[in-house]
Amino acid sequence: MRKFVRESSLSLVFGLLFLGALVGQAVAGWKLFNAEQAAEGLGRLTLAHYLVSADFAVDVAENWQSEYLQFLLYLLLTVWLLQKGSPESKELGSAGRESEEEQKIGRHATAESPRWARVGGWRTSVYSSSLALAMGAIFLASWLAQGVAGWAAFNEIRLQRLQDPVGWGPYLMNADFWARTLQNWQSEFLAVGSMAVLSIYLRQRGSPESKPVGQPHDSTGVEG
Amino acid sequence: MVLPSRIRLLPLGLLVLGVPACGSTQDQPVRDVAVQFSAAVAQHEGRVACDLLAPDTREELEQSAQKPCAEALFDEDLPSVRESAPVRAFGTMAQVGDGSETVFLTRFPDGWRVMAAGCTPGPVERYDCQVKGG
Repeated sequence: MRKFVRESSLSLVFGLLFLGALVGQAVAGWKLFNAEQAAEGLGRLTLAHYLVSADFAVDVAENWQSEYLQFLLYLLLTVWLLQKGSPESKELGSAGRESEEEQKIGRHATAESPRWARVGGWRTSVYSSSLALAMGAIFLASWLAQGVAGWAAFNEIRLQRLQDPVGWGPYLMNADFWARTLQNWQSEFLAVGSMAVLSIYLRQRGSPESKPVGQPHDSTGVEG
Repeated sequence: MVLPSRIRLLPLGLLVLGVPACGSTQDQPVRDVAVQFSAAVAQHEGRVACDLLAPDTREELEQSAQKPCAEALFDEDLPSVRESAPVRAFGTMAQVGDGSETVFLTRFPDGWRVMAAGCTPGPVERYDCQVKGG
């Protein structure tokens, strides 16, 4: 057990941080929602009802979709795009999907390689992109969830204002959907870009996300 | 804001699958309150009708008319909502009817209440209502 915790501490800690933040978001969002409802003379919700509300769902989903889009683009673009001096980049001159030998597939797979990396054919092809496929699938699903929950939340507000609700198609063209989407996208792209550039010149000793402290600035694709 | 019954926050995959699925179970309770309110107004059952108003709406009506709700309500010539009127419910809000017989409702812990009645489409994408909250 101790070994498991020690060897999985990164995922365990981030898992706990995620759960803590999600619980905090739920409570804070619930209180804010009920305060706004009370100010308008409308009914309030219990926490249980708030957790299945459009208001909570859209706030969660709009953040999830942008995080998974960030990772999807990061995975795909770092195959071909380079950043001199950044540990986030491959070495200069190594843009592309790399050889089978470098990727340890085909005849270069070992006995310890994952099964779908060893067997070849469509299985190896799929497995070769499985991380991007997973990120992309979660991105699309959570963006769809944002679209649905955001539509419901948007129409709830329209009805409060004595306005007709709008259909889902028109909502996807509406500024509310795109404002939610793009406000999240801009911060994700900024974060990745910042990391790619700041890590050229700054260091964090001991982190695999940083170059070693004494590594030169123009050293590319080297991690600590 | 509780999602309409056809849109629930289930695990993500179920949410995606549930979007085009089953009809809203909120439609009938909403319609029932709107029709009950209309019937109470038509039959001059002031107490029944006023009990179906949202508290803020009732208070606004009494303040502007300077008389009890049960009397003030019949100063307004409120059109009836037919039983086949369309319902559009999202979270804690709903709209019943169309055109000049539109009613807006809001959900409280003890059920749906009429927030605005006698509503007709106004000039700026907003309904003008004979009875509404402040």
